[in-house]
Amino acid sequence: MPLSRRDFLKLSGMTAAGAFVGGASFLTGCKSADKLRGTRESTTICPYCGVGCGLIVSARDGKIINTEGDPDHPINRGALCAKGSALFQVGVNERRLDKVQYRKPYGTEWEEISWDDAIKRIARRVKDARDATFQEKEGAVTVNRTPGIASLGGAALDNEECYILSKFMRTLGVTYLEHQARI
Amino acid sequence: MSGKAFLVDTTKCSGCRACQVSCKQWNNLPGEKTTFFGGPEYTNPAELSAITFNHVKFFPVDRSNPEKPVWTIMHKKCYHCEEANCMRVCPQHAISRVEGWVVIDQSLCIGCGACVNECVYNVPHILDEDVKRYGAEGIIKKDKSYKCHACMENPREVPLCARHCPTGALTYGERAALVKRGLARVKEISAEYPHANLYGLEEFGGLRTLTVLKDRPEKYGLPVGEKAKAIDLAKAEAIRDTYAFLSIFTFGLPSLKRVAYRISKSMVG
Amino acid sequence: MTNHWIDIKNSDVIFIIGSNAAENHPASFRWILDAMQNRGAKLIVVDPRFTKSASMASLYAPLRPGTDLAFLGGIMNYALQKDLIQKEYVVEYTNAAYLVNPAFKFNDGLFSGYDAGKRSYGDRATWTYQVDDKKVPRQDKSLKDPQCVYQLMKKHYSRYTPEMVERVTGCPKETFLKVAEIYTSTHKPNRVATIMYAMGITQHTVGTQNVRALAMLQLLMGNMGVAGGGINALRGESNVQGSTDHALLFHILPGYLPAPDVKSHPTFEAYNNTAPKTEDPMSINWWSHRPKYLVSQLKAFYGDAATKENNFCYDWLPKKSKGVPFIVLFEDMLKGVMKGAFFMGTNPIVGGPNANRNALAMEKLDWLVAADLWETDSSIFWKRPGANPTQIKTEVFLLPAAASMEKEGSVSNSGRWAQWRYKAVNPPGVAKTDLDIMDLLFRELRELYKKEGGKFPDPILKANWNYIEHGEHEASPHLVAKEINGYTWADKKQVKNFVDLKDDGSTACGNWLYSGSYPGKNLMARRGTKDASNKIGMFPEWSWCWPLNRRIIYNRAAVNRKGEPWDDTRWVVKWTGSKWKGDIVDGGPTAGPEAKNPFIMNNEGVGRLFGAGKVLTDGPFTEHYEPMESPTTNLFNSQKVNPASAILNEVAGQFGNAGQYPYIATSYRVVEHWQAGAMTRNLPWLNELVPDMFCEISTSLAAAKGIKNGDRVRIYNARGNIRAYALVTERMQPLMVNGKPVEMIGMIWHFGPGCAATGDACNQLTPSIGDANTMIPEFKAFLADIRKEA
Repeated sequence: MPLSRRDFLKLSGMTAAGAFVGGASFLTGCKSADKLRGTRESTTICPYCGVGCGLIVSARDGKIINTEGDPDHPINRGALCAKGSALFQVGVNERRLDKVQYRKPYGTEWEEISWDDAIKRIARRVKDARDATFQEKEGAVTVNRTPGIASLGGAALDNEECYILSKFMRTLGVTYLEHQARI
Repeated sequence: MSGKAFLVDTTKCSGCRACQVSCKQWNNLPGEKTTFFGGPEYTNPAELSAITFNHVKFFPVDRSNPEKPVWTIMHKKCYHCEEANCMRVCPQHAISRVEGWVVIDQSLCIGCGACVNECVYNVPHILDEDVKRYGAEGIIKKDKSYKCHACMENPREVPLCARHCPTGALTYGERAALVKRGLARVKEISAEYPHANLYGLEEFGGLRTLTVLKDRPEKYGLPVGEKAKAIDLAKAEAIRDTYAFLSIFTFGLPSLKRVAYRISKSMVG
Repeated sequence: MTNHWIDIKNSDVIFIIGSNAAENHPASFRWILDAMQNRGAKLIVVDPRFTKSASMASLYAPLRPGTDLAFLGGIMNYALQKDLIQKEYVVEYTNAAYLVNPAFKFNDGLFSGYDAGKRSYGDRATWTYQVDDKKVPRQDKSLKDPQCVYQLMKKHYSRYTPEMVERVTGCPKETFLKVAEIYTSTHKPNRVATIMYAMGITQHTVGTQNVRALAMLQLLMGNMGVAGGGINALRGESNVQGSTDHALLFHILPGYLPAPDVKSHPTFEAYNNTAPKTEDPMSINWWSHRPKYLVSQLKAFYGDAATKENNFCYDWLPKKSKGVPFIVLFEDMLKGVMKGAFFMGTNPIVGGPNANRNALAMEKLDWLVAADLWETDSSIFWKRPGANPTQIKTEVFLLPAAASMEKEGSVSNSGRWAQWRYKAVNPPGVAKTDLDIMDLLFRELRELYKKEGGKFPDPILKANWNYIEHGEHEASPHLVAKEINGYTWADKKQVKNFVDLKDDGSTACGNWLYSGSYPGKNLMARRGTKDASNKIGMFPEWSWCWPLNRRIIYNRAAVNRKGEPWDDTRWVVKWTGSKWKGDIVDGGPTAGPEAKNPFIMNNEGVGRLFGAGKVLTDGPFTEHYEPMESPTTNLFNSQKVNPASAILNEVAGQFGNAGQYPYIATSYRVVEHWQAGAMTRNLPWLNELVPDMFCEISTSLAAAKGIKNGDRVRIYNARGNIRAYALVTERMQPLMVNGKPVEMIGMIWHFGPGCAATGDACNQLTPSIGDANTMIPEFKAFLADIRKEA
């Protein structure tokens, strides 16, 4: 969502370029002193604790350039803690996974596989586990459940994802369903 | 003194260290490699460095009144002295005043360590290895001096360190207004903290990072009185001249430059 | 939270217990300091350690981990003995005046109906009210009847004297009395306290009763429903509120509908028959609407297949025959019950109790699918230190997922605000949103069942599952959000809110609680910064909050029976004689304050000081029991641990005693890291601040063990042993418990063997026992020993 540029983000009264007569300064390598030049801003909510602080993410050419507290947000009013202030490094981080990783049984390393391959293989495992363990009845009661599969996690997913996970697992018949709220 | 300033209020700091991280984010500074806490309590790293321009120091808890233990947590960055030692002794005039703030131009810096030696607050530091800037092009250069530049190099209405502070322990604004606010705060807390004071009114001709303290400045390692007076201008010039001579023998090696500076200072001393 | 973050500014007393908000919810301190500065509010912090929150407090009180009920029972006793309660509120809006079944008894830590063989209260028939011939509970509004809740309560808590509080908790009597005095000052209608709590309250064998004690106190003070009040659980994850609302738990369906159970809900009819009923004309009993919510949910799940004739496919929902909380789930995994598991952004090898055991359980899986931003400690369990990958059969799929700012969707904060997030950039490489991953997988599975058939394929083949907008190829969060909100089945029109939902199959709604969030426009995306007419910081046009955008729940209790606010300077709602003003009132806009009771989710309509019925497994009043592992005997009764807490046979041999492990151990978090650490231990800026596992000990324990600040130490007990750095600090102090000093080892639990910054996991030491009601593990109080590492 493009936002109108807020006052707080404006350059201050002085001109940045005029700050250093000598030219090369701390920001050598970043051609302009205006770090946010030409960025597109969007709002987000901090992924860490449950306060729900607002942030503004500035991106240029598909890359995150800056993350900062959203001053319009009524709860945090532009402030953040150390974690929220570090959100940038969640986006820009060499440790992020960018490929599907697969570890075969008894394997000692990850291998790369394609999404297509991964989804096909997982669907096969899920179907086999469901079909092998499915229970239709317990005594006279219809139970339609799949004890062979468990699902854990979800407290960091979006609501829409949580709902879909909840619906998906119930559709499979999963009752071993738990997440961070219980630990 | 007109212009902008920071106000640190140690009675409001909860030690979340948003300032320490926000500065790194805005300035693309890398994290330091640490193994355990470098200073008292959660203090980490031990001090400001060439890649850490904002620092939070956790003092040991004072239990002299067991009913009401006091844990002081203090934000620290460059104090931006009105009469700044670093500026006075820099042989290259690489340190100048921009809108009142004391800033280093790294393109002029020769890494001689004059500023490092003369700053009683231990603020500027010489980077001892080239460091890649985080998430941005370019590197921060070895053998150059770095410290807080009050985001003068990428200015916004309020620097991110102050804007991100959730408790109002670090604020930014017109110095005159902040002095007023700081003094009012001192009055407010003086019943609880009889030695409370606003630090930075007089020191080095007045500081641009003012601090509301619960106790006497010495308790927090902050100089007062004679120790908080700028180096004499004539003496600074003599040091610079001596250094200019000695530096001929340093072969451009930063380590020797630093030695040469120390010798110059002791010769003038 | 019954209230919300900004509302803290309306408080006169902020009572933090079992939370270190300054560390874990730093932004809350903006509003705490606002109240302190602008209202002269007092901040009380009760915590075993002198924490960052404590350093900001007007008054700090220490207590031994696991003794909250002794402390809170002490405050209840103080309030009841000194008559420091809001009488009118208590009489009208709680069950204080209700007469209890004369057969109800309490003796030596046991309530009537206990079955020692089963370690449970098999018979809770005496935990009931006396009723009149219309089945309405009998009351004595003078509160004099010896069988009324108020009198029973007064007697029950009379044992919780300040002296006993000191002996059990270690908190000096004078300090305790100061806390009680400041807190109970809010019994006046013009003074309000908020209670902020977190896992320090819940992660105990008495966790639910700890929460209840807080709620009971707030009811006695008249602090529920009002601005600046409430009982506020500080949620530790950005969407743990939403993920719970959407029921990623074995015991509920989305919107807190009970998950079908073999015994209680064998049929659709039986399920609906368990919807709470009342004969009391004063009770709104909102849960009587439950059948509409269930049917609409079934319609959202199964679409056209769900018809009146087949009970809307009720039987397609799986039915459980036992509870499978986290601890039980992992025990079953260890037994090999499951073949495979999904880990959707979770790291149980660090976050779960008795973590070594969890890792062994995972080795029993044939396959594991983990979706995450990075390698987590859990997804690399097969190459964790000490494991031999060539002996571990588990096939592991690690799917690269999008981060919060790389996708669109909503998250619900502690204050129940569902806030929309936007996509700033694409995720790295081929990473996908979790939504897209699940959608791809579901559709692939449907193809497989279509092709091959299989066990009971109907739910998979016929589920209502269309999440890709025309012309797109990725699942759309908007389509999901619209389904959650609900729509009419015939013409697919968004419903306005859950009042529109029907039990005849004409409406579909994924989660009734969120009905109203997307009635046409996406209200969760709103950014209106105007406050409401009552100017208490509700910001009703910012995002959307459940239920119905009600910012303070139970707000009917914010006024007296005439509809006048208890405090007009911070009113929440007002009754004008014909309608309500202010916040969206609870329980429907037409019923006046004199006609209906405020606590609409209880079938009595009033707050329960006495936990009547079968809601609780461990007693209608709270009672102090020791943690499973404790350095002392129970001074209140001869029960050691909560008699209704399940002790699993499988782990019964893994508990230690104070002879073996003399120190209390507890776990907590720091601001620089988050939960099990994958989201922070990969960030260099945060690793700079807290780079490795550490523990905190007092100077006296350090001296006794020859440990200096910064030394490497070994902490161990019956379940594991871990290495940590020692932080020796004055913030940790031994407490005098029953006349003896007790030392404590505090540990952060963020670390594990994976990620950029590694360290041992505290949870290798934590026990596999949990709360009697929820089975949340007892992370906060157990035993361990410590020695300096050679």
